[in-house]
Amino acid sequence: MSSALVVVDMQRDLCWDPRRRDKVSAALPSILGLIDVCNREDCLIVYAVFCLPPDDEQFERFGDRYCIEGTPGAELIPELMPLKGPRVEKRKHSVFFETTLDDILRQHGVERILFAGMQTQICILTSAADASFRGYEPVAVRECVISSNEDAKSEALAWISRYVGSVVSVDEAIASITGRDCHE
Amino acid sequence: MSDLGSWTARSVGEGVGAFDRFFAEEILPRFASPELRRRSDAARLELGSLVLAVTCDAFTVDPLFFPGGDIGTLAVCGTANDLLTEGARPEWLLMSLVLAEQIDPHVVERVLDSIQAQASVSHAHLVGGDTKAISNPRSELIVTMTGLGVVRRQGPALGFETVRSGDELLVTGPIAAHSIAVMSAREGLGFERVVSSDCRDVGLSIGSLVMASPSIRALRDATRGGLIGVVHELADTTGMAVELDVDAVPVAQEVTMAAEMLGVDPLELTNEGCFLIVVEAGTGERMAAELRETCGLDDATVVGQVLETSGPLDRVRLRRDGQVRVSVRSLSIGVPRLC
Repeated sequence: MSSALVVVDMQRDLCWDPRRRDKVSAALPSILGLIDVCNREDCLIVYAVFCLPPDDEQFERFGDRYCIEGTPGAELIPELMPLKGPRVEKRKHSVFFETTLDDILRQHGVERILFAGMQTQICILTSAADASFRGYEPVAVRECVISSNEDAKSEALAWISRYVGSVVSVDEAIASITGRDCHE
Repeated sequence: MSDLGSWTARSVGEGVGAFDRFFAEEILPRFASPELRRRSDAARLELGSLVLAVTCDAFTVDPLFFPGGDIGTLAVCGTANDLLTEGARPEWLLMSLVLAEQIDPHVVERVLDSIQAQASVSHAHLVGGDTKAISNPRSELIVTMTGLGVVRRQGPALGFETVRSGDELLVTGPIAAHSIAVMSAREGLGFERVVSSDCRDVGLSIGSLVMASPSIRALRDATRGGLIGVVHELADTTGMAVELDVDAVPVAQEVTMAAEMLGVDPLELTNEGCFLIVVEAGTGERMAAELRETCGLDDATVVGQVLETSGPLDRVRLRRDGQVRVSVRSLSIGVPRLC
């Protein structure tokens, strides 16, 4: 089965936020390891990023401002450089909402999507649901998805398993890719 | 002078418990008309032998266009549905538009096209209105619609005041799709491709039945506050108990998934094309079959019953998984986890 790795919202404003910095540090080795394997095995890697206008309505709801287009905080963290695949800009939670991601994945014949990044209970969760409704098989990689709230992360992963996809360990994800199940 | 802690504009706008308090404390003392005390979605005006139903509603929604409808269809359908609660159809409409000064004229044109199209389908005629513009409002467009129609119901008048112990409750279709469709379109939750609003003029399907069936006691569209909100209104207005069989209430699988993701209860979510109908005891199953087979409402089903009350504290009872618990009227709607 052809797979792709979608890395979600690993941007400075979000990763360097004190509420998530430790979680990001803990997850980063697994994320970088998975990216390396995908890159080596010619598995498509896509970086989805928030790119928000200065007056975006979600700032009021979340009581925070982040990833405003053109600002340094909207850039991907340096650890991910150089990028190993295309960057897709989004304005809403799901990585598919009014973005080019679906087209990119279909051009590459992708059937299964591995998700890494943040936050598990918001963007990973809605993206997994959206992926499922679009006919993909979403897979959340447990050590590679991040949340500032561990309970919320557990609930989100349970929801994904229950309704739309699966949750695997990073070792299982790597094994599935090196088993040559990524797109040839 | 109001107790400043008793309500806020935001919670009153949600139409649940805080609105009840606002209505009781601020509206009724100032405007003590018997018609207001009925708390119907439309007022009945008796003019000699002619009985008119009239309703007025302000519509706001974000985004203006959502899966299954837009603010224009919402305004016409919502008005039609309110008139149906009195056994009338929307024959005349008056429309007031409040436009943000910066709104794209093409957006207004699209909404007006929708209003025209839905009014045509609903056989309603726009006969007047008004337009205002304001600078920098939070909503780009507010549509206020007034609807009038002749009450054409044959037989006993409709209303919660006619409800008796033993009467049965039905819903006309699956609940909560409107809220999920709108939230998903606004926030990008991924459900906007698979969940559409139920926004529709229900009278086009069940109007004939409502006009003719003597076993229908009352009906109410379960809009703000959701199905549970209407059930509480029924209990509060009649002073009787209402038991709702939650397991029998139809909910689409994708709506259940989204509600669980968001941490919200489908019973509390807004509908724009789903009615709670109260029918005479012993006629529920027959009415549900008629709704399914004659009116094309495949998911119409019996969901509860009106009972004698044992006191004001347990008037609304929810039966779920064989257990019965008392439902307490929420003062406001909980905030979904993601939004």
